Parts: sequence; C-alpha cells; structure tokens
Amino acid sequence: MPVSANAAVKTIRQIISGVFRIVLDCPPIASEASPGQFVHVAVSGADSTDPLLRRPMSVCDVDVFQGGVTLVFRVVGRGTRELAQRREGETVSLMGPIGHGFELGMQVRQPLLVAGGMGIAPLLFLSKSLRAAGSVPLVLAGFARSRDVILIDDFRGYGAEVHVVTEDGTEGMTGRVTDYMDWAAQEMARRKPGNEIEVYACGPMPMLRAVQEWCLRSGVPGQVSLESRMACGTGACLGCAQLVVDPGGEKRYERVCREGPVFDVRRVIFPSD
Amino acid sequence: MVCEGGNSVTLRHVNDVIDVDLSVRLAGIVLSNPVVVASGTFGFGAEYEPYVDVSKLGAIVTKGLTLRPRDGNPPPRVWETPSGMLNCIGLQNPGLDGYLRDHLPALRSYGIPVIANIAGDTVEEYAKLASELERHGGADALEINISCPNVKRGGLAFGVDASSAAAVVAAVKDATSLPVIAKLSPNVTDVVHIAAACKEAGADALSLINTLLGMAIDVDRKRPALGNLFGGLSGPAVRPVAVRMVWQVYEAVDLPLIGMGGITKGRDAVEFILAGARAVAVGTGNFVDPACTLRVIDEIRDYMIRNGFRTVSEMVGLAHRRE
Ligand SMILES: Cc1cc2nc3c(=O)[nH]c(=O)nc-3n(C[C@H](O)[C@H](O)[C@H](O)COP(=O)(O)OP(=O)(O)OC[C@H]3O[C@@H](n4cnc5c(N)ncnc54)[C@H](O)[C@@H]3O)c2cc1C
Ligand SMILES: Cc1cc2nc3c(=O)[nH]c(=O)nc-3n(C[C@H](O)[C@H](O)[C@H](O)COP(=O)(O)O)c2cc1C
Ligand code: FES
Repeated sequence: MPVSANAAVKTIRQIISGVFRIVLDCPPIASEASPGQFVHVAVSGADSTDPLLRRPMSVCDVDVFQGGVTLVFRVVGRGTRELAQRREGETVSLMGPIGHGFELGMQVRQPLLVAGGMGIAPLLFLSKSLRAAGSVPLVLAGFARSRDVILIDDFRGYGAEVHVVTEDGTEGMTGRVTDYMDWAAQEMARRKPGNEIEVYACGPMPMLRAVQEWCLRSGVPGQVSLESRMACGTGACLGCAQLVVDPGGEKRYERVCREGPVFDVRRVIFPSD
Repeated sequence: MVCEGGNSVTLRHVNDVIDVDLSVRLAGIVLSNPVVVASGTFGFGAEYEPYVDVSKLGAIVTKGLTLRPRDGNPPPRVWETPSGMLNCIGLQNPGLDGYLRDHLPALRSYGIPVIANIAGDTVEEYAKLASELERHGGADALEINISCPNVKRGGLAFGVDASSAAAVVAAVKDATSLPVIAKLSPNVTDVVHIAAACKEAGADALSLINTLLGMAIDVDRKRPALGNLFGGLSGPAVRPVAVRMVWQVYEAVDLPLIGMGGITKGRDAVEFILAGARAVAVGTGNFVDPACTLRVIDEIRDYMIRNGFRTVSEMVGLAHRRE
C-alpha cells in the first residue's frame, strides 16, 4: 500500500548541469518500492497552490536499511526548479510507491535494458534488482551528448554491463540507442547461446516507439515505462490515460499511474504524431 | 443538544466544555459532517483508501456515471494552470452494470451515504439511469450532472438552458424517489435563473459549481494542450467564482446547497458555508493532498470551536446578515 509522508531531504546534489540527485528519508517507501514504481512529489510549500499539482518521479534507487529514496530529475519547468531548491533537512511531501512497475519474472531470460535520457532513472533500481536476482543486465544508455551522460558508474557499481550511446558521438557509440539493439541481442546470444532475452525500456516516446518496433520485429518480449501528465496519482481522476490494446484486439484506456507506468510493449498504442 | 450524526467532539477549554456538532441534513440524508468529495475526483473511494479513512467523510459522490460504459477522450486529459487545472476526461466510466458489479459493494462498506453522479445524452437516459440505480440500491441520493451536451438539442449543455435543465430534473424526479441534487454549470449568464428552474422542477438540493470551460495552448508543441481542445477549469483559481455563485443562489433560491470549487483548507470550506452552502465538496484538493478531506473536516471543527459555533447550520449563510 502506498503512503503519504513528509520526507526529510538527506542529500541533494547537482550531478550535471540541470540534473539533480535527491535522497529523501522515507523508510516506508524505501522498503515497499519495486523497480519501475514512482512517487508523486509535492513541489510547492504546504500553503502554496502554485504550482498546484504533484510531479511524478521514478524511484531511481532505494536504501532499505537507511530508509533512503533516491530520485534523479532534470529541471524542465517550475515544479522541478522548486524541487531543486530544497535544502538538506527540509521536508518534501511524497505519495508512493505508486504504480505497476517492471516484472522481473523468473529471470529465465537475459535482461536488455534500453534507456533514453532521463529514462535511465528507473532502470538503475531495476538493474540492481535484476543483479540481486542473479542476472547481469546489459544496458544501452542513450543520451544526446557527452555532457548529458549520468548514472553510468552507479550501474557499473551494481554489476551491470553498460554501453553508452550518444546521438552526436561525443561519448561511446554514435547514434540512437535503438540502433544498437540488434548488436546487443547478437552479443547476448553469442555469449549465452539459446538464452532468450527480454527488453526493459524507459525514455522519450519516439524511442519507445522504436523499441516497440524492434521487439515486434524480433519477437522479443518487452516492458516499457511510459510518461503521462498526471493529476491524482491514485487512479481516481483518469487524467493519465494511455491507449492500449488487448490480445483480443480490443482497445481501451488504462491509467499510467495504476495499470502503468510499465506496460507490456505489445499492448501500447502510441499516438501517431 | 441533539446530535444527528454522532460526530460530535468534546474539547476541554479550561473549565469550558464545547460540543461541536458537525452533522448536517441535506435533501433528506444525514451527513456526519459537511465535507463530501466532488464527483470525478475521488473515483469510487477505493483509490483513496491508502490515504484516507473514507468512512469519515460526510458522503461520497461517485465519478459521473452513464447508462453504458464510456471510453473518455483522447489524451492529454489534464493540464496544470495557475493555481488550477484543466481536465477533459470525457466521462470515462464503467457504466451502470460495471458500477453495480465492481464498485458498489466496496462503496457500501464505508457506511456513509453514497451519492451517485449521473450523466446522459438525452433526458430519457438520465431518467433510466436514475430508476435503475434506485432499483438496485445503487445510491442514497442522485447528483445530476447537467453540464453534459444534450445530443437531441445540437449538443448544447442541458445546464446552460433553463428549460433543458428543468426537463432533466423533472424526468429524474419522476423516475425515482431518491433525493435529487442538481449540479449547476458555471458556464451560464445567470446561474440563479437555472437554479430557480431546477427548484421549480423538483430538485431537493443544488451542487455548485462544476468546472469552468477553459483552454490552454501548449506553446512548445504549438497545439491545443488538451486532446479535446477545451477542458474544465478547477482548483483554487475558480474559488471566487464559485463563492459568488453560491452567494447569489442562496439569496434567491430556497434549497440546500453543496458548495465546491477550489477548496483545499478548512477556511475555504467555511467561506462557502458562510456564503450559504450547507455542505462542501473537495475536488481538485484531493490531488494536491490525498488526505485533504479529513484535514478540511478537522479545520472546520477548529474554526467552529474558535468562533463559538456549535452547529454547522449556525454558520450557513451567515455572511448575508444585515446589521
Ligand atoms: C511515471 C513518471 C516518472 C517520471 N520520472 C522522472 C524522473 O525520474 N526524472 C525526471 O527528471 N523526470 C521524470 N518524469 C517527468 C517529470 O514528471 C516531469 O519532468 C515534471 O513533472 C515536470 O515538472 P515541471 O513543473 O518542472 O515542468 P512543467 O512543464 O512546468 O510542468 C507543468 C505540468 O506538466 C507536467 N509535466 C511536464 N512534463 C511532464 C512529463 N514529461 N511527464 C509527465 N508530466 C509532465 C507536470 O507534472 C505539471 O503538471 C516522470 C514522469 C512520469 C509520468
Ligand atoms: C478530473 C476531474 C473530473 C471530474 N469529473 C466530474 C464528473 O464526472 N461529474 C461532475 O459532475 N463533475 C466532475 N468534475 C467537477 C468536480 O466535481 C467539481 O465540480 C469541480 O472540479 C470544482 O471543484 P474543485 O475545484 O474542488 O475541483 C470533475 C473535476 C475534475 C477535476
Ligand atoms: S493521475 Fe489520476 S488516474 Fe492517473
């Protein structure tokens, strides 16, 4: 069950220009959260109504023993700017953990993680959990350019194999992260022949659409974490609707905050533009 | 002192004992306190169970229901605005059967009055839904959302035209013996005129206000922000409009009022009560703080104690007094 709690800021640090890593002291969320779930963060002070709504943020990591919940976020607007101004010791109101996260399954398949930009945040927690469950994830981490690259050392610290891809070629391999999925799949097949893979992805919508195409074309199962504008974060307002299709072909809206944010890649119907 | 809902607290102030009775009677039902949830902002209650003891609310008002399930509008469906938000959910709901099967049992378990918010494309649809809800014990009262487009009259909302509004209310009254609350749209030139027509047609109470029609453009995408172009504005930004309308209707129409629009604190709720509301609904406030309702109840109680009120009815419309 999610909780609503005031969490003290343990640490807050700018890791690269415009991107912050905040660790919040919230034992109930730290112990309950699973990878892919998120928290709904109040960015204004208690008496302020502007900005009004909470901001959804993926759980990037947890420290179960210390009760720490790590979020990594980019300042893109007013809410994230206010959050970045919190100081150690101040409190932040959180709801969480929320949503249906990644399914780790029985881990008979090898995990291929595909991250685009800030979409890397939830994949760190996933990577840690996969490693704890006995598999070594291969991570394709895509960024626009070298100075956007984040969290790579954390992944390596958790025993993942990470390959950086930048669109402008300033670090790692050049191009889009999805251009390297064939390569990664071959590499994984070469090392462990006969072992099937499963894709876990989070990133901007065009990237996820390319992941979907790849998964369908390659017959590989996948799970994608989606974003949507949200109001309640409880499943009540139906504001975060995402169009999905059932195996039977029936289409309907599901809630990114409840049935999501992680969906079976085959079920998602991306908007056409 | 008579205590209807039993939700009376006793506080000890030195030697003074103050009993505060929060219960209110509204359209024939008794609420243990004046705070209910606004339709569409609290789902069917279960969504908020992790955060709120739902049984402590005055009543629960359901998401807008229609006879058949509805898919709702394409996203984006919500958009933040200064101290407010726009929504164009489009009445996504499980329909009558889905409601009775999947939601009613849990709703009943809270032991508080259930007010079903109903919507339709035609007068007949509203009436059918009302009688079916009564027949299946699906509600203790009905709140008619008259902000829906009237399909038979070119899609103009029932609630913007006094005769259409009255026709819906009369048809629902005919179809059921449940108390009927008409929920008024603020998107009208004269809310009092519509309120009076609803009373004439037999409404037992009025809810006001529904959302204000608005729009936003996403300047990054250079397109309308919402999938449905227009949406309903709610939240603290609309409160002064809502308070004004409660005030006007209280002066002119003798019916109990449920006030709503931007309530996030006890003092906001008291503002509505002093303007003439007998009960208040928290809507968008639930999104900001999931336990907003319970905090509002506590803060109303504190206000009453500090100001020497023993019952809510002593406060209703008090700001209208002329001395
Ligand atoms: C499940 C989920 C997990 C997320 N995890 C992260 C994360 O780990 N790190 C990170 O940096 N960002 C994450 N985001 C995106 C983050 O929520 C937005 O960047 C943030 O809400 C922007 O707020 P703002 O006030 O700075 O921007 P503004 O543009 O001023 O916000 C205005 C409104 O739009 C909403 N909004 C704007 N951009 C987005 C977006 N991309 N997704 C959803 N709502 C948006 C805001 O919540 C707010 O209601 C996540 C989004 C979702 C849905
Ligand atoms: C997301 C959302 C969904 C809503 N759905 C309904 C609905 O189904 N039926 C209805 O009568 N009003 C609906 N409303 C209007 C609210 O019940 C309420 O009248 C309005 O939001 C003003 O109150 P607030 O400012 O406290 O939210 C909805 C409002 C919101 C924000
Ligand atoms: S944000 Fe309200 S239902 Fe998902």
